Amino acid sequence: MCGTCGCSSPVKEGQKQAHGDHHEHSHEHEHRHGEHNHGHVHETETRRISVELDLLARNDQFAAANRDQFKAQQLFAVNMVSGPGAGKTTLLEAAIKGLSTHADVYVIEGDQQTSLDADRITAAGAKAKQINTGAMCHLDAHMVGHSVSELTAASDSASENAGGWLFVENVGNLVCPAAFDLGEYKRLALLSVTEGDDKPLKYPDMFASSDIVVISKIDLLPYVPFDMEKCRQAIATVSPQARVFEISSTTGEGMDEWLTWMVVARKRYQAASDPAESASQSAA
Amino acid sequence: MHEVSLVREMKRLVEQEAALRQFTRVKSIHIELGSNACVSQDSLRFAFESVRSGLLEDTNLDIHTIPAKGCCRGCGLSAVMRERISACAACGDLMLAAGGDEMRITELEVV
Repeated sequence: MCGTCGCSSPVKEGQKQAHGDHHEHSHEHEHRHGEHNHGHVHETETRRISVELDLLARNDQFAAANRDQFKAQQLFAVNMVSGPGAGKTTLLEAAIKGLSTHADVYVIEGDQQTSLDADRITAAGAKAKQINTGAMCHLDAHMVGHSVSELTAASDSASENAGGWLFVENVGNLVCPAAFDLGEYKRLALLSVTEGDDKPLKYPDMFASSDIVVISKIDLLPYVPFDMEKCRQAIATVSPQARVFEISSTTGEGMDEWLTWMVVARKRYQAASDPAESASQSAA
Repeated sequence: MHEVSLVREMKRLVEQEAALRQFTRVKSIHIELGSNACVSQDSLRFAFESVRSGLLEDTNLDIHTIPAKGCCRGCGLSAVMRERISACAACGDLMLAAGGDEMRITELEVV
């Protein structure tokens, strides 16, 4: 029986008032249950509906679809995040030279405006697709899914599932892209020595969600007050799982170590995502 | 700034729900935000003004913060984390966050 007006309608599921145990709050309403029939009309009666609507669920669905797609195409996808000017595009230019002898390199470039970065990547020898986000401060999984389809459709080798690396260069922003899964296999955060050794502590969300941290522009270390040990401690504090590399894209210092790691990691990924291979592994 | 994307998604979800459950106005949206969700409440409220029309003309945003829980990587103690980077109250080692990234609508008050 309805406790408010005494009618016999049971309380419907959508009218439950509990939200879980972590908080409580009261609401004043003349009628608590508006959905059932009172026998008289209340046009302005308020109904309470319990829902479970995740604001990121839609993005996460697209991200999961991307992840499946990347697996099917044997693409080792890396989401590159950093503040503006940390050297993402320059690192990529150098990486393309080192990696393209092993497999194809595909790059999605996210910027507010212009195709300048995609032009640089194409000139470096990779297949690139520019996304201009306009007013948007981050890439989302839906945009990336479309771009990857276009990018790989134009390439014969990808359609034959030869695989390769897919780098998604996110919009330069150390805050907003953190929440948006793109379906990547690894997230790589870049931090240049000119930005300061305390950056991981100041922007913990981005670093906490990263698998790889590249400390870039190390050729500038003699000219800036940057304590490498302090920076590594800061990274270990917010992101204990992250693999850290120190690199100068300009002089090439540290580049080989990172590229070797990328080649080995891709082989492992490929072995794990190849149905035939993983079946034989589990049989053995 | 990504709060703009979030309020647009919020509007899309509420419109979907309105078609399903037959309501024409939303008086209140109850939202749970984890303390590590990297969402600013002020920005979310500000961004919400950009979608305030139709169904959401007179909608009140009721935002509830859920504190992130953490687990000490040294002694395994579980506790609520008051700050993003916190030390364990028992042994002083680093607390690792578990959850706290929630951003969801839990309840609608509709007409």
